Amino acid sequence: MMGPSSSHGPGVSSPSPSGDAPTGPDASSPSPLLRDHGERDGPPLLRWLLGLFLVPVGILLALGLKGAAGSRDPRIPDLIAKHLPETGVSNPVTGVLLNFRGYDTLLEIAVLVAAMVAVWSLDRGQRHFGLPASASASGGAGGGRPFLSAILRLAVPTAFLTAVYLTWMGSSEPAGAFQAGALLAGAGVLLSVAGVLRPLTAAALPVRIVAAGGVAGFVVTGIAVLPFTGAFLAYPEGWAYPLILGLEAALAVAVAVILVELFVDVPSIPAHDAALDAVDPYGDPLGRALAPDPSPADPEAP
Amino acid sequence: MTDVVTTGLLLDGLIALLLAGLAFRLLRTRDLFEAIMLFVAYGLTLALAWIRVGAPDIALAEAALGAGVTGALFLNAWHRLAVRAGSDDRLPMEADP
Amino acid sequence: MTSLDLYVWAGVVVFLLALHAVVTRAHLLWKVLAINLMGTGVFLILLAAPARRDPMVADPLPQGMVLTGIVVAVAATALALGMALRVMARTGSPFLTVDPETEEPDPDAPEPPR
Repeated sequence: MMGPSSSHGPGVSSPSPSGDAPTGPDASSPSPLLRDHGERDGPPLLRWLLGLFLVPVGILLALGLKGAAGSRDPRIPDLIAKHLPETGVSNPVTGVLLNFRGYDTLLEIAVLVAAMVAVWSLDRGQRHFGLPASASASGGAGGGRPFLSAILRLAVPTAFLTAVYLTWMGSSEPAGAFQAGALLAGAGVLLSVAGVLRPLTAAALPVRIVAAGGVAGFVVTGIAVLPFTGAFLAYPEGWAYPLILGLEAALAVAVAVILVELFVDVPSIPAHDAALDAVDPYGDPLGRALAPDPSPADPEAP
Repeated sequence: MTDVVTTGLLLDGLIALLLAGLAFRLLRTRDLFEAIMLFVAYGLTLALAWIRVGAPDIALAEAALGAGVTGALFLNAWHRLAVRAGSDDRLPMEADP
Repeated sequence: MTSLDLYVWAGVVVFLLALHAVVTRAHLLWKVLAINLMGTGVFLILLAAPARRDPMVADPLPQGMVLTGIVVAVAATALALGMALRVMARTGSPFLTVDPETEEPDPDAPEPPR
């Protein structure tokens, strides 16, 4: 197809030192980035042996699981059903997540915040996301592309409305903050792709405040109920439902913002980089073949 | 009654086979874009499986997060690689200045 | 053999297929995909294997745990993709292997390509 004529494929890389890429990386595709030809996969014999070894493992695993689970009396569902009225909600999963096991959910949203911080710090200062600035500035939402703008007009309000509904119904029906947050994040991703939400990165203070709001809401609520019940995150009588609803709302917004961040802040790879073009992608990527000069756009490289 | 049970069992067997087959194909294929599409299909099939297992909360979360958001994350990564690899499949809006 | 048994088997099969791929496939993005699939296999087992009172309704407790797991898996996937892309941006290669002919990898002391 494209072959060596590609201006920045590995076809222009330095000649392979010892011919260690047998078929040549440019036989059917310009780069192993998008098509993995399997040159780096383990030896076939080892792969087959591992596969053969995993067959009895799987059979034993499935039989063992069935035997272990079938012999036990399911008491936990009964316990949950018995104490569900005390949780303030009627959906048992929401009751488990936000009342019985509130710690789980607190730590879950903390993990999300940590992941956002980690992804954000991977590639500071090198983001090239979304449309060129001219496109988003000239056309507004959708940048003059009628299909994208029609989708935006239909999907974003619908997603927003559905997310509110899902958060509200989470107390009684199968729904909840995380599903709602994912829907909101879908709308946010769409807006980011279209160039409407371009400045939304974790560097912005409002983004940080909203993203931390889920954890903060949990911690503040947990401490605020301490004088009344004497235990962290143990809601006082009659207050469980409003507290859970408030927490769910904060969670949904925080989850949405964090997921959009995770999408937007993924590191980018420069399309043209002479040092990278000189690297043989099948060579020794960590040592010898590493580009001699770290790309100048990466000021924090050691 | 028996008919309903048999039909349900057939449906479950079909979904289970589909899950295993999609997983096998997506782990074996050489093309990244195909693998990502298969992953999204796998996530949606898994959402069906959650309904059948009796976990509608998980089904919603799987469809939205497992298939939707994760699929978008992978497509985003694919796109960055496509720009880097100079692939013809790149989006026109990302054309170089 | 009930319907739930089928899903336990599907979970085990998907988990092991993905484990095999994590070990044998060198492309970093396939490793991330495979780790995701391993997670879904575990989720299937967690929900389908336990004994139940009502065969049509899964336990709320494992449901809550799996819901947490899905959300955390998305966050971990995003971080893994970010790191994989960072590796590709620095090395130009989607693989993380070292040439067996050479010694230990030393990213801090690069030599110019010959």
